[in-house]
Amino acid sequence: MSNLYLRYQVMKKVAILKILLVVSLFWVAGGLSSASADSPFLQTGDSATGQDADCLMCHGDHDFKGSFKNGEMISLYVDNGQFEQSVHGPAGLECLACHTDINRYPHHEEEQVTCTECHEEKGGNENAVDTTIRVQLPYTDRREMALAINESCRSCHEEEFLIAADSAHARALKGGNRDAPVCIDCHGSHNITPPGEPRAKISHICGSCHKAVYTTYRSSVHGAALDEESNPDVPTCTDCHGVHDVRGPRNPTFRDESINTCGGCHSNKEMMSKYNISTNVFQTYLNDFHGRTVELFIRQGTGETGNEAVCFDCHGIHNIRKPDDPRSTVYPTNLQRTCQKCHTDANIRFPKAWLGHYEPTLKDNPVLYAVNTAYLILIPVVIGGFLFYIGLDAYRRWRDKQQLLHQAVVQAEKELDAELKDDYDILKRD
Amino acid sequence: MTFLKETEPIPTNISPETDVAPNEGISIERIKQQALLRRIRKARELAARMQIAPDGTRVFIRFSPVQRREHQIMLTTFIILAVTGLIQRFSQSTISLILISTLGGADTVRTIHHLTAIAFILVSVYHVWEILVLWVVKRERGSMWPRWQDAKDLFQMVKFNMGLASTRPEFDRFSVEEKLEYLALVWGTVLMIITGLIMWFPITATSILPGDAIPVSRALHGWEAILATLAILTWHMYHVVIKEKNRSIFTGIMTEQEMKHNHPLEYRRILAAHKFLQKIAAEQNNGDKSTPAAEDTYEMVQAIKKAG
Repeated sequence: MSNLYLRYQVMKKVAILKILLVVSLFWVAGGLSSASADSPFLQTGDSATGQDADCLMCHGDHDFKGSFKNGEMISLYVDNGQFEQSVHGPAGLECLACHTDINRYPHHEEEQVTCTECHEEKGGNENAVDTTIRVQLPYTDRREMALAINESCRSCHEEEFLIAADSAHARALKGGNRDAPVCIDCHGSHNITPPGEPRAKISHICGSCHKAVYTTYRSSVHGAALDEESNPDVPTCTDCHGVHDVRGPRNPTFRDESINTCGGCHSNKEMMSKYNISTNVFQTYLNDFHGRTVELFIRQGTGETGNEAVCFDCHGIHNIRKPDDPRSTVYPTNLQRTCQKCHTDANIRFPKAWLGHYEPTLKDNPVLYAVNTAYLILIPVVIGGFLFYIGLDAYRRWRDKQQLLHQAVVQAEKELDAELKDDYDILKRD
Repeated sequence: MTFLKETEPIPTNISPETDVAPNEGISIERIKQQALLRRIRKARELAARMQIAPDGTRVFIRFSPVQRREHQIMLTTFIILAVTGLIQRFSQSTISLILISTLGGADTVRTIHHLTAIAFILVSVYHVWEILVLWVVKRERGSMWPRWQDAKDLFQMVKFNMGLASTRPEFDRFSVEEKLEYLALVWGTVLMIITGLIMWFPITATSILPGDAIPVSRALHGWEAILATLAILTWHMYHVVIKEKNRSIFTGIMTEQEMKHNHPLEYRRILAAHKFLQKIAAEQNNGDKSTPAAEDTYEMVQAIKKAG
């Protein structure tokens, strides 16, 4: 509560300054435009109309700059052409659609645009037309501004915003890591394009921070296909780790639920047939001890988890390679070492305990195949034999009992006849 | 005792034919006496199976307290093992999920299964020890030992039930139905213990066995669990609960009526043993006190008479 209140206080305090922030972000995202700047004041995009044109009066100027409290400078130029090509431009959003708290000029008390820097008629420098316009920004540095401006995404994208507020990145941010990514770090600002276009961009963005992991991923079977062939099926970072709800692999349920992530594609017949990969891999995993247990943990939903191997424990995580690649962790000569990750004392025979995602066949696993076949015959024969014997026995006992009963009835009738003589002949049985 | 003088040569020409009589130490009378003792001992053992209950009726001892305790442990551990095992075997069903969650999760279920398995193994090992004592010390095969007669009994039972034979087979101490049950239990127990231990200690197992032993054990363990449970539910439950409520494994005894009906051969042998012992005792009453065994038997028969 107090946190929320504090945040609200801060938001309120910086609300007016947001305009400047957004503008700087335009610059951050767009980079320095090389557009010609003959008339900096009027350097606006063709489609800029109405209020946007007003904004671009200043923010269309390549030389419009702001300075942070720490002395760092930032360009406040906005490339309207780029904005028009972003998802928000064609949608008809104007500057104020996002920068809702800009309602006056100057936007903030701390802005110090001196009129006389340009306007000689007011007693200023007559050569000041090309002078850089500088404003004092109410932020310590660029990151503080970025974090503040990021809050404006929430007004439209509330759902995603709140989901992201629970993510591992948000936790890192709350934990004091100011570089932990917020919306605009991944999506950009004025240059936002639809997510995942092209798909490789996703991994590039994640890789800009997670460099080591990205390098490994790029050499994996998935990463290479994404980078080199623009493969539409291989997973990018977000396919496994989640998008806004990115949880972090040390989350207790991430491990177990990862099998459904892998299994989702690897049991998809249509997708796997393209690459000639068996879709049995998932089911055979679930049929074995490890998979059976992990699946149970997931279905229990109690958060119970164990150390039973999931897909990536054997196949590798970011370094997944084809099983016939000698560098693969599941290449026959590497298997023992892979098993030893968990089964420390596993000997050379141990990996044979795993059937390699194959259904047991007469050729490859004769003993196992024979056992399965034998019991499929043995159980019906034995239990069927038992039931046959039991059925006969029960029937015979029932029939004997009926016979005894019948004899008793006959006897009773006879005795009754003798006792009653012929007096009640008419009541005798037919 | 005399010692050979050093000067006297040791005789070397001893011939077994001349110096040891062919019947030396062998006496027909002595062997007869031993055989009689053996028969008396056997008869006493049989006769002891019939006791007189406080209400004066004859009851027949079926199981010793130790055997009843063994069955109780087997019964308890089997049920726990079957439940905690089958819900793992069929973990994908909803009932399994509910039971596993109720019992405290997959790891708890496994721990229960393992701990119960220890008790199951211990009671099985104890039973093996009993069998070894029977075979090695008492030098008996035991009344569970399968005989050709059992196969004949089985066929005659089927024939009788189908109306192709006029009489039911007469069973001895253990019927062919009970022997089949026991055989299934022995087979299942040996298999389950071996395959269970292989799965429980896979690393140790693969230091002796090939890696395939683990999936093979897993398959065997799972299949045999189904077979054993179904066998108990059909065969065992029918014969001891549905057909007739046979409580002898819990009470240890059977009534004369039950005994006559279910184990006529044993019933007659027990009565014969009593008759035999009475005859021996009668001889003893006539003044024949030549054998100590007869004396023992006399006392025992008196005791039985007194009790009856």
